[in-house]
Amino acid sequence: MTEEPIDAGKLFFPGLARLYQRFAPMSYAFMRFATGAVLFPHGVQKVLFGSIDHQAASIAAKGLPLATLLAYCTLFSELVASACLAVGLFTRAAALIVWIQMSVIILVFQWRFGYFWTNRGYEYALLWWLLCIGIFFRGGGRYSLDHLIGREI
Amino acid sequence: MSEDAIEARRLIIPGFAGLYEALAPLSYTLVRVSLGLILMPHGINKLFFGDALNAAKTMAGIGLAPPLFWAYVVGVLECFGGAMLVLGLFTRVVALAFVIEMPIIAFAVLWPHWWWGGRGMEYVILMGLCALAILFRGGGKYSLDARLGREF
Repeated sequence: MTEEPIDAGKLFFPGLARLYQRFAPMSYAFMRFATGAVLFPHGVQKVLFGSIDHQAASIAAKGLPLATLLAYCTLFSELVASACLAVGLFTRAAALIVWIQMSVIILVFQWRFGYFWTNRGYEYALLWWLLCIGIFFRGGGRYSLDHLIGREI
Repeated sequence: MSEDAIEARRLIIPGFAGLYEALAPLSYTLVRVSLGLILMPHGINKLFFGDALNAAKTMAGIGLAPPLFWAYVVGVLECFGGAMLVLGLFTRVVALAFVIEMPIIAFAVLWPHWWWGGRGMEYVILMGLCALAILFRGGGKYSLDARLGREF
């Protein structure tokens, strides 16, 4: 981040400046990778052990239309969009997809359980929702396939 | 972020360059503020709504003594440390505290369960990784650390 260089003169421990200088540019990519990498196993699990019918039934039970289609959308979001977030490919589109999924999860599925995750509440989905906004704002960033390809959404 | 500048010619929809240019500098701040806000209710619950007693049982379960003391330590960290993340005050110190807290919860309390629906560690791991990203970067441009002109 040339715009935000680590200024040793501002640090309480100036000796740490080099360490910070080295890691700060990776901060964003690390966060983006973590966001996708923690969601990805949900997609893998659905493919290996889940069933679309089962997923569709739980979606239909909430009164949502086109449950089977939405079940496939969920799978796509968790398996493909999450992997795209992790590697920074079509990053903003992936962030938007996951953001939409999390919006539905929060409002339709978890709102009634309240905030705390230990009571099946929405805080975990809310963190993903917020991280996706942050990722959408920024795009792939320096360490991403988008950057390597030289084109991005 | 001149090194990470939004270049319109790289965009598949170049017309969005202005929007992205405006939003990108806020990205990091949003992430920092989000993690702080997400954590605060946990601390508030422990400190002001009696959840420290539940937390103390967890502390006792992993051998931290005295349990109630550690429950309050964690409560203070989540409530006030969370607020400091929101403000970007002594950001790295607070982020480091969360980078220590989260793996302890994940590996000492929630292990070996992974899925959050089964009280597993995935959510706590994600929070720990976000805290680590914040530790890498510090307060960033829009933070009290930047305003003070001094930071850890």
